[in-house]
Amino acid sequence: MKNTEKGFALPLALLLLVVMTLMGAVLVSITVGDIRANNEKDYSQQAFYAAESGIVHGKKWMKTNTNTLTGSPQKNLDGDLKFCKTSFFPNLIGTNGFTLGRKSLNEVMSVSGDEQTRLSNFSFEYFIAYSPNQSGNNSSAKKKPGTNKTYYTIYSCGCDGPKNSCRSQNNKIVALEAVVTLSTQ
Amino acid sequence: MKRKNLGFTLTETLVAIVIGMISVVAAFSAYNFYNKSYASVSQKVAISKSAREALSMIVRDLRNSGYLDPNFIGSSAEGISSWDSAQQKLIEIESKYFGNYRQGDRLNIWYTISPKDRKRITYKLKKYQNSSKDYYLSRDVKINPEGGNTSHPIVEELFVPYVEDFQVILKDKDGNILGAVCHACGAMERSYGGNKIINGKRKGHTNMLEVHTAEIYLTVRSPKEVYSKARKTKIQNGESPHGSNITINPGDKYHRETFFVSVHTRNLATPQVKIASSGQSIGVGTGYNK
Amino acid sequence: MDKKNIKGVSILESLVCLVIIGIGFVAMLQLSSFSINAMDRSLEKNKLNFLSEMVLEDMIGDPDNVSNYSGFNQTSCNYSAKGGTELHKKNKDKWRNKLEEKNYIKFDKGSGFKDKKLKCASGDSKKTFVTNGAGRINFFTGKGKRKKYLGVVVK
Repeated sequence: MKNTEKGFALPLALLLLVVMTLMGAVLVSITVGDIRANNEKDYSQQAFYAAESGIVHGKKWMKTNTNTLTGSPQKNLDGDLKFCKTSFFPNLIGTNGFTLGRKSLNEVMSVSGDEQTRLSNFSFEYFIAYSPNQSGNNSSAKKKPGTNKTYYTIYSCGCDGPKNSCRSQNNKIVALEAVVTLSTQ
Repeated sequence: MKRKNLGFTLTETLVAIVIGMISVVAAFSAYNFYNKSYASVSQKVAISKSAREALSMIVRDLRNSGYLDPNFIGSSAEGISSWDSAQQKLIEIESKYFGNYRQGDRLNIWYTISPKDRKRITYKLKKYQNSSKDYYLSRDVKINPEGGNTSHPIVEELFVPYVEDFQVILKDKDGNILGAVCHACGAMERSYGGNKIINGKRKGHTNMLEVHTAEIYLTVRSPKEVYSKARKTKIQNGESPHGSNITINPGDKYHRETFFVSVHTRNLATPQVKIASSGQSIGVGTGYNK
Repeated sequence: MDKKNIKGVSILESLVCLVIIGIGFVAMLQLSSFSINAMDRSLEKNKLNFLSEMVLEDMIGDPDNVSNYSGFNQTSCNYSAKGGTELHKKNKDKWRNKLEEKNYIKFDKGSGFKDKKLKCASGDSKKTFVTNGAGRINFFTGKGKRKKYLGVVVK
């Protein structure tokens, strides 16, 4: 009987142990929250630069395919685009374009080891079309005023996943567009 | 024999009291240590989060600054009818005027979001209503600012709590500071010739198309006090005279951090690319913001 | 026999309680210390993320000369401006300055304004690589344990 009366100290001590551990755990958890946010920012950054790399690749394609860009029929791209949907671009209504390209970053940069693993988890997909008019229609060429230069738009999406497994539902996708003209025109 | 059953011995009591006192002191100092740790860590998390969100937003706006949709002239809701007129509003700063120390900058950025509509984004330090010294960095958005009937009200879309300093330094493609990039030129910009007319155009306007790089300094303060002893603080951001030199005296107990980022403004001074020319970029992000 | 049990329980019990509380104490102290250090590192990582953008943005802004941005290598403790009038030289001096991880904030706790001490650790390095128009950064901090990679095709 006297044992149980004195028994309050032990459960109290155990309670204090739990409370103190929880207090420490709270501190750790808010710190880990910030660390995680930094990681997400890191992935966003690389996805953005993946999209920019897509635009550069689009420009390179245009330089070597100027003939394809003058008036040959355009194709409906929506079926072929894996993750860079035309719906990401609010100013574009049509789905016709000249070409598309898709690469994982480790395919366009020569890297090895850790870096190779990381870059293989980012990719871009781009497509090139006439720049749309004010209603979003891009079935015909629009020229820069006072010149003979046609406005083309390179639409590019960067993804934080490899090129074959990137899905807009699961991955973070950064969408960019760049309006360019050909200096040869 | 019966006496022993009823009570404790003197030794027992003394030992119990000593153990009890040690426990109390230990508990008290543990609690104190924890309190200080919690204050320090939670305040730093707040600073880290504010700065990350603010700078991500600022970088995105700077990348878009000056973008003009090819269809904008002719269908603009603001009635802008010439490229010249559109190019008078691309990016501007007013330096050394805002914030608690009167040294913060205001940044205005314009870019089109559709063939018809243009957004103006203003970053500047504003005072909290219930305080005399606490400022926050606000991001105000106005769609079609010149549009009269078609313009929308100003919406404060983001604010960054407890910002001590916000500095913007714009440089040209040779890495030299542009002292006057403005449409409505402030005192400092006027001293750099912002209102001077050269070849029929105001220097403040022609400089907008020279902007190649934007550098941003952001100093954020902890919402609550962190240190136990007051300390005087000096904040020096940027390159004199285009920057800040702030001394906080008498000291206080807040924690401060300064963040720096530098962005290439892709739609303004275009790089000397000789190939597929006139590149203009706009960022329309989905999920890009953190 | 009865008396012995009563005496034994109270001292033993309080000693056990003390040990248990002591464990909780130590646990809380350890977790707190970890958090304090980890949070400071997290702040530095946050800043470093934006400084990484600075480097890539400068490369993207100078595409015709992007190969001049290769071969940058900074170990935390040595910084001296190298000078030069070309954009890439100015940019690299800017990087040397900003990547030094100096605080722009100085405080005076009574004995004059002092800078926060620089973190110099062997194994730290901040490098850039440019090959075939693709620019990358490899920033290693924390004695080389924390790695930041970022890459972009510039040209």
